Amino acid sequence: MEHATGPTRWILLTFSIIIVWQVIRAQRGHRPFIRRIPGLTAIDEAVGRAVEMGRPILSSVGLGGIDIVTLQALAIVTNVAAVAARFGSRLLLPVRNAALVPVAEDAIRNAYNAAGRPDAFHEEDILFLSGEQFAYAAGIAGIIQRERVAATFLFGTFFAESLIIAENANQVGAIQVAGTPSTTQIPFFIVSCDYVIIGDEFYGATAYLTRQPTLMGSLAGQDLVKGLLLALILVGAVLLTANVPVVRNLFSDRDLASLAAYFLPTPEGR
Amino acid sequence: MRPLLVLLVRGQRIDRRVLYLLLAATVALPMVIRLPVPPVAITPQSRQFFRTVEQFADDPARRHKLVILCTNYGSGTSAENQTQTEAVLHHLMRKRLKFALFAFSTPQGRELGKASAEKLASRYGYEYGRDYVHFGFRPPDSVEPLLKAAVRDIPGNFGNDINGTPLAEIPVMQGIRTVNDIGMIVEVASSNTLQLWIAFFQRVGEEPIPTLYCPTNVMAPEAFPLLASGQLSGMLAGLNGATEYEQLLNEPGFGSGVSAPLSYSQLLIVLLIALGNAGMFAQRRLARLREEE
Amino acid sequence: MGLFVPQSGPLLWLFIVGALLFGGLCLFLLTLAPPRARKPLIAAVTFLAGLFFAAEFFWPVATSGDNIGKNFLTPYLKPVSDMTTVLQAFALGVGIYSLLNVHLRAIARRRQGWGFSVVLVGSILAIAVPALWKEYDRENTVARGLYTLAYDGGFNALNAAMFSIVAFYIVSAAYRAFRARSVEATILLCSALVVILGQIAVGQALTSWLPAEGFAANFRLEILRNWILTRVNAPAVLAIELGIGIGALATSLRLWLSLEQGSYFEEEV
Repeated sequence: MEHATGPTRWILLTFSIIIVWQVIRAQRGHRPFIRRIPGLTAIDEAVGRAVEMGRPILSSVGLGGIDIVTLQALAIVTNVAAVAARFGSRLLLPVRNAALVPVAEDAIRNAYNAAGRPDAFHEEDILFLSGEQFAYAAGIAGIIQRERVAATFLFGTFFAESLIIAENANQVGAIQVAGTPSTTQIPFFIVSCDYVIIGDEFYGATAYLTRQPTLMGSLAGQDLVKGLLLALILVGAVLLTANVPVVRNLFSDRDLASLAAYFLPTPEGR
Repeated sequence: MRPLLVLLVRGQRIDRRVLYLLLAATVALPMVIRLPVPPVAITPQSRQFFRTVEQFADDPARRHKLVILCTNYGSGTSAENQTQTEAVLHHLMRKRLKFALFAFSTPQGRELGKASAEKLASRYGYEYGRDYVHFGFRPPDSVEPLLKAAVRDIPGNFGNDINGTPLAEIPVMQGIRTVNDIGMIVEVASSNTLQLWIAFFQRVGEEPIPTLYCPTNVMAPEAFPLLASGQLSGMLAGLNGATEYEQLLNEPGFGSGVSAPLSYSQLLIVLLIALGNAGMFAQRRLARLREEE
Repeated sequence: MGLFVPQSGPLLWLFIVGALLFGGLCLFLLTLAPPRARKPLIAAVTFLAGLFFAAEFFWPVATSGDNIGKNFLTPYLKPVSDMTTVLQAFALGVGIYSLLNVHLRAIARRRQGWGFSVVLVGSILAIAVPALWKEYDRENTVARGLYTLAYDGGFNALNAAMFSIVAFYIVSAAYRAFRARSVEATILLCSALVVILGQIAVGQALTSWLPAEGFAANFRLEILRNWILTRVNAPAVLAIELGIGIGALATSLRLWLSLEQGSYFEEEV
């Protein structure tokens, strides 16, 4: 699909409006309920342990570039940094994407400033390692072993290096919290980390941690959209079984000639 | 009874260095000593992959179209991805189909794809420029607009080949102008690069382009929904998939050669898991015995 | 569009000087902007940049004529994307500065483990020097030989070695984690065993005595494995990805409309 087709255009627009509407509603005082996410409540515990042991904390925002996943991961890590700053612990953040260095520096510095500990922030703790996947993994493994980190927070896009990082941290006895939208890496984190947040919990994490109206509203919007999509899937399945392909055609790759065409079966494979 | 239980409990805490040594030995030994291993069963996804290529090659209306073979992997996953690439190349060359190599995940993919094609070209009488072409490497961020633009003008937007020659001047590219001149897409990948083809290229022409996928084994579970939806027309999952394809082609290669180490190393994992669980149950039993005493 | 085509000769130099002057002017103007204007400025640039891609995707396209399938923004899509690639390339300089800053300091101050820093700086030079040399003196066989040695002999081999370490970690992690401690863990363990055994020849041989057709064939390990992957795992993956996709849409909207600032420890908007 090079451009939005008629139905997709309206569906995406509707979803966007629902999310923004919920954000505005939350900013005006409506507070949606948010359930407990064990992996995120463990942040204080993990940071506290690092303080007790006198060892640093290691975070990673994965292999992504400056994209949505990485920025969300950075937002979560920034919250971890705020806790670390409050406890007076050192946070190491090796990054894989060079363009992320100034962005991460800025975000983490803000977190330390907000916690009233600007002195505890060290620029060299936000470190570019390598743009190469396994050189980055080897670099992190080295830091984990040399610094004997007490806790790791792994959020973002991960590939095969996930297990290299998590197992090395496991070897030094670090308490580990991980979260990734990369579904293929979730099993690796589950076997080697103490807490794993799964799927869209990743996008709900900042709302959970900060309880800020904007983020809480966004989360409520996401859930509404999800409900709507599930309803569409259900209705679509029923209608398709009855040989009425209208819902499937709504998500078609191209504009259909007329309104009536949406109710007719489309050519094979479309 | 009790000594056995104690022994099993100890089996719960084998030092990780011993585990690593066991794995190294299990991988290395079958390469030195020929251990028997039965042929691997062929999955429906590999069979579907094979059938799609066969049907394309047997269709006189489509077989003159260009096949795009994307080698989006680096040396790290070459054991899986390079074996898949070579198995697919055997099939394409055996059927005398014209193809274009392309890479946009890592520059290593460009070199690895080129090396595989050159290795097999002489055997099948393939000549660069006449029978196949290499589009070279493009940075990942630039590929989405490139594919969108290439829908209507492939040589104009891809520009030059790997050697800097304009694509329009290369014989195999004669008659290849738009998305409708692409016959199949084969994506060999070690990261999530498939979505670009599916989102921006596969279904924008007159007919949907059959898309075949060769991911690493770890990535394969993500692709099953795409097979069910018809967005993929076949998949070779990791080294297993490549081995199955070698069997289908009756062309034993690296995959068939390492079938024994692959089998026995995974069997080792099963045995270790069993040992760990036996130890856990033995510990519980031992605790109960102590309570009874 | 004349701005966005490759230039050569004096015009190329004119473009380079023009770009530098324009960039310098923008930076100068930014220094003049009061601190309070910083946030609205970032929000405006973010919104405009996002608006371009959104408008290009959603704006209706021509259905006939020379510009079929294009709208008025489509011709600018590639140049704008090229700009982001160029920006990323410049950022590499920031990364290398950050890396060298840490390691050269470690070497100069003889910090603990400074030997590793020497190896790191040496490795950068070992690959960068032959690569640049080869690029500017293409006929030189020594440069090409050194590059091949560093890239194929060093980098590629090390890359493959690092990836192969994953196999060892899988063994230790599986051995440690796959224990039948609870009902859920037992289900996970059993399905893992079926999938592992169902994908290897030795495992498949355990049930190869079952007929290949008919009801009993369903209990062959490779069939069970395929069933787990396509009927149990695939819908679960799809459901997770559905949630992730919507989450990404919401996060994109918050960033695009600059509603997101709160999570980076600035005041809530």
